[in-house]
Amino acid sequence: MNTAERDLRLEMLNSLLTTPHRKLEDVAEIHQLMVELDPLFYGHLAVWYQRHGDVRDHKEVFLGHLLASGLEEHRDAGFVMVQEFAPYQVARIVDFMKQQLGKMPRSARTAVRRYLQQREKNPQFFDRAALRNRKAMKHLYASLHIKPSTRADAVLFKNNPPPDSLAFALKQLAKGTSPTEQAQLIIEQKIPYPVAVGALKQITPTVLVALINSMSPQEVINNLKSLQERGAIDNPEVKALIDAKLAEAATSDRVSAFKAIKAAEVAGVSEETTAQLQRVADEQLKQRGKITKTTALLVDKSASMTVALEVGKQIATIVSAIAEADLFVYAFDTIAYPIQAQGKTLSDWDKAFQHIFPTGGTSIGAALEIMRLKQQSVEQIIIVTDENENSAPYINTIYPRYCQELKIQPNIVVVKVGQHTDYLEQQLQQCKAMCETFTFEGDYYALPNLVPLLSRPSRLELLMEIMETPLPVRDDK
Amino acid sequence: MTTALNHVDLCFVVDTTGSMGAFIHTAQQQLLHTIGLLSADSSIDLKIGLVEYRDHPPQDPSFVTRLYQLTANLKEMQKAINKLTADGGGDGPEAVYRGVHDACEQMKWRPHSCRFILLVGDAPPHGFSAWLREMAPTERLGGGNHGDAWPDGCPSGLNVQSVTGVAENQRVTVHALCMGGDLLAMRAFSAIASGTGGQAANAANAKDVISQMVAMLGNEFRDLAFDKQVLEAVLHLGTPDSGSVAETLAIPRLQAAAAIARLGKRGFLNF
Repeated sequence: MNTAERDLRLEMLNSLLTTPHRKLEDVAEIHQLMVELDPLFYGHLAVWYQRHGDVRDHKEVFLGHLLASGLEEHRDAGFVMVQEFAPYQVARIVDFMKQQLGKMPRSARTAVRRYLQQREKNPQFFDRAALRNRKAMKHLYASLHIKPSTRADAVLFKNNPPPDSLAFALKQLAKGTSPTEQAQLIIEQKIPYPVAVGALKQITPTVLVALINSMSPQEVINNLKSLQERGAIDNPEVKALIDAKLAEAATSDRVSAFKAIKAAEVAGVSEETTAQLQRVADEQLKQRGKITKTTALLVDKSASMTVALEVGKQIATIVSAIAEADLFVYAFDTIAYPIQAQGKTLSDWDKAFQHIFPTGGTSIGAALEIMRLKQQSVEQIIIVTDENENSAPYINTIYPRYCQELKIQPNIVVVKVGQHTDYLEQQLQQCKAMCETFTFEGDYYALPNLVPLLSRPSRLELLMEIMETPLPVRDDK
Repeated sequence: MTTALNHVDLCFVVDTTGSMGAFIHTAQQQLLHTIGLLSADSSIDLKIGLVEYRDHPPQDPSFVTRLYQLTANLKEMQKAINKLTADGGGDGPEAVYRGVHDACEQMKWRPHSCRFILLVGDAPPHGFSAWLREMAPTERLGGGNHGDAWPDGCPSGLNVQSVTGVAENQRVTVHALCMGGDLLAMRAFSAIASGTGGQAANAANAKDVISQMVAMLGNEFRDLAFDKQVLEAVLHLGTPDSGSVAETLAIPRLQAAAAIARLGKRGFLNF
């Protein structure tokens, strides 16, 4: 890989930090560019991202491009990977291919047919998919003109589900009047929470217990606010069940770390439950990687920065949870303020930042200058800023001095927030500093995407890891 | 202290050199429109100020800047705006930096107010091309120095960094409206605005800037009652810890943290 290839590929990685929720067309352009510029890298990146990435929208766009690719190995990889997606996602991928890419190759249609047939072969598997994703399943059959099996047709299109089906059980649930009977049905049939609450006129504690017992840890987290609204947190027995699920989440690899924290904030749950969710997030983050490089986190607190402080706190939480080397945190305006947390949780960092408000001018060099004077040597620096430095000491003066005195040349990761420019990058390039940028566009879920870049010994190693990720092959050819 | 939550101080900084002759009427209309929109919102306690700027002598012998102090008397300010006339100036660039700087430093901003500048002009500041070449060497705008009498830097000694630094120190957000479509002017106005967290637009999209400013104010004041609750909670608890405030008010931590940041920025939490 030459330097130009490496830089282009890193640029592609950077672009994955933007997170368009439910707007696939917003990232379509970025992916289109990546596919055209470096299809080889794109294929490996798609597979790597499927395993390590957090953002569902990107995974769907990757699949769309793989399935529509001119390269057979990409289409084959897409064929295999699409089998892992939920029906609503497959429906979104199909729509994306038709509407954004303007194509739906035969192999892609075959992949979806295989997908549906795999479910049809196993009635329980089919029923579960149809129960949660009825509209999506119908859309897949109808839009691609795929003939459903007799049973699938009865469940989805004829509204005449067979007695052994989940759809039939759901009808019985809706008709039922006894909470005990309802609870039994929910447990026996494992009826999903969002589907059950739609069918039930009343949610009693008995029914809540049955529902939560049937939910996975991620489902509990996703529906925490809804559960709270139904009084789940107020009932000791039900709350104990929720707490047990959250404890289970800590070791589950299907739980998204940041969604756990977000769930706690949205749900406004108690400090105890929040602390538990934070532990979930911490455990998950640890499994994503470790940061073995000494790191500095510099957070712009100038008057133009209202978002940077919150982003800084969340990055401090992420990094401190997985850092095995020293971490130095500073907030800066025209002077630097060292920030020390008592612990590693978001609550600890929140308290550490509590007297830091967005005021003052911007001197990015101020914090590095303090570190130089204190002889704090770091291998990488994360700067959360809009790059609009306007006061001395300027970073382009301090960085070379820092490197010379401490005999080290730290990599710099700029997390761009607010009305950002690229002045800082240009200044750092003139100092020959290795600099990467990530744009924060409002989604805290995307911040864990920083972890792979901070936890790998070098950018090159990450790129090598991606290039070495094998593409899955079809077993039916 | 909570009564100061709805204070909005807005200063118009307007180029009134001769080249603005074609635009001054449009500019006046936009300023008056802005006043109309904001004053229609009775939840806002509004004060308006005005700074005219022209050019440094000998380019213009009349004045460099002329101030009309912040006032709650909106009729008086509307009269002042209506009396603006475009005259003078010399070379292309004008005393943009002095206009913004003087507005930031000489306006009597209320202690806890939301502070905005709306910069309106059609020409870049002196020395901007040279500044841009240094800060963004890869950027190519072309167009030369616009016959800049001071191509190496504004005679005031100010530049983008110094005025945005002053603006940040005074907690002022600068939004900018560029009339006439000059690329360098637009670039300069963008640099100044973004350096303070504001936005710039050209005259074809004057409504965008004004609607952006009104939207920003809307964001600030949408949660007026909420911010008041949070402030009272902080004062009662004696700490701006968002976790404690969130628990006290039974609200999500993120919302509490955002409100505390807004209040802290405006100086309500300096204890």
